[in-house]
Amino acid sequence: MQNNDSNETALLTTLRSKDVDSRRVFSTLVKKYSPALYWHIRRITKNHEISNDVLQNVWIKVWQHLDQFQGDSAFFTWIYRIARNEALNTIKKEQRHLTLVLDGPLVELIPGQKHIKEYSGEEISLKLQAAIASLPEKQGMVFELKYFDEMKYSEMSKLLNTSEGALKASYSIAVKKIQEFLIAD
Amino acid sequence: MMNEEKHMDDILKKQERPEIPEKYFESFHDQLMQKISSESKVIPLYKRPAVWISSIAATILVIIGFSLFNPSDNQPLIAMEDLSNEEVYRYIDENIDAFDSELIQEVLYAERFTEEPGDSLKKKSNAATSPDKKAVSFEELSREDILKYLQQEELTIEEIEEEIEN
Repeated sequence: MQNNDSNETALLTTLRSKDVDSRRVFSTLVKKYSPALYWHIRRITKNHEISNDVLQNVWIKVWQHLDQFQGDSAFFTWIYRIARNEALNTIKKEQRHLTLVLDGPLVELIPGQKHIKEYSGEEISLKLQAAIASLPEKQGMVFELKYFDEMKYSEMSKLLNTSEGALKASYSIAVKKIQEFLIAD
Repeated sequence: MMNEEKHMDDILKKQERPEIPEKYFESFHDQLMQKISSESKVIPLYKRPAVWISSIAATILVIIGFSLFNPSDNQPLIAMEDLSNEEVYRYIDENIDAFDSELIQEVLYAERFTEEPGDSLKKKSNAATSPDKKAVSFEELSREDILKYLQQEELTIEEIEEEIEN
């Protein structure tokens, strides 16, 4: 854990120097983080072109505002938050969003649920996203990375500077809260 | 009450992820890095040494300017009248690079056909905007213009005739 922290500090120092080394480190991060960020963005925008634009803006913002990273969370958490805000702001002001073909629902409700109403795929997907948004930021992120991206706890642990045990507990609580949210009305 | 052990997969069925272009993340990475590399490092103005030096130089010039000219009575310490023609010509000769030679030529050209010396600027601007400013032929000049020119050059008809004969 402490090792991860010091690695991240060294990484940020290199990144902030904006020299050849920093571009190399940045390039590695782009390769490593882009898939998870892309799918996070795409679940919000529901369109590839918009997601591509958003992802590009996110990385440019990260590159330009490295000084603003406070170090109070893992670096990935900071970028994930930027990606979420950028995606939400884009669909708010993006007129294209009304004319482009959007992705289908994220999930379908398995028929025969005793405590949950019969929702359509679109409805239950929106409800699921609202449930995730109601969670504390890190818990929501852990849920998304595990449920949608099927990321291993070991990988997530490195990414978020959190022990695997804590991540498992976090996911378990998130699932419980989401299920309660889905049966709420 | 819902069974707490129930997994998400017991309730919801995840849909297939939508397709993305082949090798999308590779090409995304390459395009992004190209963009980042093409952006030169932006240094805030206040951090640029050249800006500091220019600012200091400009301040010194302003101070010198105020010491040479008295802003209270708006009178320069050295008036044009105080300078001899010789001094002015020498200054122009030494600093010819600082002058627009075409402009000087046009002013001189216009001056020759000026009724009143104060009109020189007007003539100059007319000459500059007129497309055929250099197409004034001898035939277009009136006798009065020619006499005025000769007077200006301190020549007489007799002297010219003499020149032609020789």
